Amino acid sequence: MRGCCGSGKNNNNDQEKSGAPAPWFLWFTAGLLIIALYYLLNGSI
Amino acid sequence: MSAPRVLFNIGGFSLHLFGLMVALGFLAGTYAAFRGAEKKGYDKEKVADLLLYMLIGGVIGARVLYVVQNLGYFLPNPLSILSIHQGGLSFHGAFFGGAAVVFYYTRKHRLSFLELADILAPGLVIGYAIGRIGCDIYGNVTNVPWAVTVEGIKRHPVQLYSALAAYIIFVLLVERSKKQHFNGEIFLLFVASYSVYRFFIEFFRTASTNLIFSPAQYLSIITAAAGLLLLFLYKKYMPKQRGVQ
Repeated sequence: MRGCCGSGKNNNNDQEKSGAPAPWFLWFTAGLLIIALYYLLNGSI
Repeated sequence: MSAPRVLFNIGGFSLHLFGLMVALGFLAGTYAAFRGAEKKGYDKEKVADLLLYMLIGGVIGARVLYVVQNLGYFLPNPLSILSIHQGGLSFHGAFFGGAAVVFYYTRKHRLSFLELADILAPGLVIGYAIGRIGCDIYGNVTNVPWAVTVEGIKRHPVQLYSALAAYIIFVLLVERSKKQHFNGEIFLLFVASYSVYRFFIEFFRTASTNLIFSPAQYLSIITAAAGLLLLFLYKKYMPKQRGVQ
């Protein structure tokens, strides 16, 4: 169990070092783009 | 409901926003299905063939269920059943039509229905999210600050609610597929979550009916219950699949 947690922690460190944005940030940004696209298309009807 | 939004006309051909968004949704769904197929070692060409058959089965199913739900209109006007370009498709019908095609295809090629359904579910839901953005059916009259004005009347932006809900379901499915426990889990999660979403969204949509719930809501209750029950039973009794990440 301890080994399992340890390996997960290492993966997170690797991700932070690589400089790639966290997955939740990408998901959240894509969600905002959907909202923006919708209001762009429905601004004046 | 407002008039279908036309992006442009060339000669006698007009491009509708809904048509464009459905096409973009199909492309996004195809891409997601290819990614899923690749991860599970499926032949992309076979998946592409299947998607084409699903598209045909889905459109037929969508129209058939819409006609059945509106028999009062279509019985006196049977020829208008063929006028698909005037609108009138049911997503539930598309789902059952597409699922029937997948079922037949997997039987014919001796593939696992549940494994393929897991691969296709995220693509289906992201395609649905994009398609909904171009949908012409607006919600009930409201005064919420985020309302859209349609022909001078403020209405619930139900297409946005639908697109966001479907997008959240997509994220849920993709994240869950990374730590999937058994074949069919992603598909059943899709069935249950989509049905719950569909049940609630119907309250914001314009629908004149004498029933307490709309036909789509009754169907959603059945599919949500079936999905959750199967999810529970599979989780309890299905052994963890080898090869499932």
